[in-house]
Amino acid sequence: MSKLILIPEEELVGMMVSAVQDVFTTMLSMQVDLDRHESSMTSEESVPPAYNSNNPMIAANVGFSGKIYGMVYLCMEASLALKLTQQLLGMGELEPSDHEMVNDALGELANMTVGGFKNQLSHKGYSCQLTIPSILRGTNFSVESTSQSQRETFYFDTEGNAFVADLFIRLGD
Amino acid sequence: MSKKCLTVDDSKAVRMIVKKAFTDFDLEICEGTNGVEGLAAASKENPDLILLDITMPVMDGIEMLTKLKADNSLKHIPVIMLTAEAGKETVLKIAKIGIRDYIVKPFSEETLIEKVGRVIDLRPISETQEKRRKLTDPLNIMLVEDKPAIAEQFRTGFSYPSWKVNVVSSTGEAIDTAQETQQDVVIISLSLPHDSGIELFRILRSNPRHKYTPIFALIVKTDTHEQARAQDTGFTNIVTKPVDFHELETKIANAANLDTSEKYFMFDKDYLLISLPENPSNHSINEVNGFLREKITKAVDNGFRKVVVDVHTLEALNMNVVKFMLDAMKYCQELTLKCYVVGNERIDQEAKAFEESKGWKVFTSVEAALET
Repeated sequence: MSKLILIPEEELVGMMVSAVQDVFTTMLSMQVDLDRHESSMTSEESVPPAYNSNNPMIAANVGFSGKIYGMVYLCMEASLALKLTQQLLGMGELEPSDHEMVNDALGELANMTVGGFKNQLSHKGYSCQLTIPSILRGTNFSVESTSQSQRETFYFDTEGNAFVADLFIRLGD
Repeated sequence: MSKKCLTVDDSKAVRMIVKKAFTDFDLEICEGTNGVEGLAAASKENPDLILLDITMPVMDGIEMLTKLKADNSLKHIPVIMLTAEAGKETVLKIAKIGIRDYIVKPFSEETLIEKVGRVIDLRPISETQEKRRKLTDPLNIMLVEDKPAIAEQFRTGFSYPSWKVNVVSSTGEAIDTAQETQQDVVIISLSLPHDSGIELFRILRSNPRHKYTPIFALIVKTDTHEQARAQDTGFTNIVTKPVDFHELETKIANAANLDTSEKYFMFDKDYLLISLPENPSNHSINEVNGFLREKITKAVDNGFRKVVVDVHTLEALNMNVVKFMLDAMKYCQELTLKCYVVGNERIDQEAKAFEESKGWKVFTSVEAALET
């Protein structure tokens, strides 16, 4: 499988893991570990969901564009998203129906994570800018890529809860 | 007057985190959710500092910063970027427009406070509260001392049960404790190993959170050299061992700006009672005198007609006490209040020895005075 991005896989994994861990330890005071990592190339077909669950899911995504294009989806069960929101804001119990607050907090966590990752790309000569975060909610959704890109899926665990950082990346035109 | 900080970020979560970080400080936080709102708020609120995100809808942070610096009435406002966008090109571009600092998300509360504290004078909210705390209000005192016996003396030595003494035995523990809970007073033993007491003082003082916290040095009474060194270092005050807790309470009350008037003044049903301790120092007399006019005026406002000055526990009536009582009588007379002196036979005899007090009628109890 030929990669589009000329960054060694180990380095790319290290960049994403450090970006995620930096956000979780600094903003949430939570331990996070990488369980496993998968690498693939997408075609123009839809991509299977990285995370299957019958429970309500939430995915916060932030993109970056410039010399390199990409999108990162932070995908997790809504219950974990609620817990992270409470932890981030130092709040007591939040109502699961408080979507606005959870969306905003998850969007910001994704922004910080992707920002950390993207800043490392910039230091390697791939300068690019971040996009504004957006949120997906549902129980079973997949992602479609309009052009072939490199997909790196990172399966994380934080204090017994699983979540995924799904990276789609390709070089600029 | 409170300082004002404008936080411009499209994320409500970030704005909430910023607000929460400064709850212990006298800092008003106003908000904008994008560059357009940020510029409008900057014009309206004239903040002392702007915390600015970059990636925002409608108008991003770079455009807002450019417009801000092009506006003569706004360009003086210092800006700290608070953003996840830290690519080299972006940072250089922003630096050219003109900013005071750059905080990259994710960020810790301590970093935020430290960097904001470098730009504006952050004062703890307790210092600026209009209503002063009373002696009997809760007070957090951190003692940094590695000798258990002395630590135990501090735990039990204060006469106010609401004063909580947190004992820690190392500088690391002290820094963590001070970070977790805002301390009203810190007492550092200078007999800690490796001169770490002085080092701890410097670390705490360099943190905006503890910039104005009273920090006392705890030193052996005979070690004058160490006392001089503590003064030169900038400690707020010195506590000598063996510790006189009565004296220490007074020092703490002064340093923490506590309202000590309740030691001397009490408003009862329809009269104001002023009590002097058995052996008042010049400091005590000055302290009670400082409250005198305010309290007597308050008695009038409350509709009271009588003031009782109780000196029956006095060991000896001296000229300082007599002068204080003459002041009390003068203020009462000005406000048409009746002033009574309560003492005992000895006080009555001593009063007759002074020209200024020889005509005083000294009652033997508060009840007897009030019956007249």
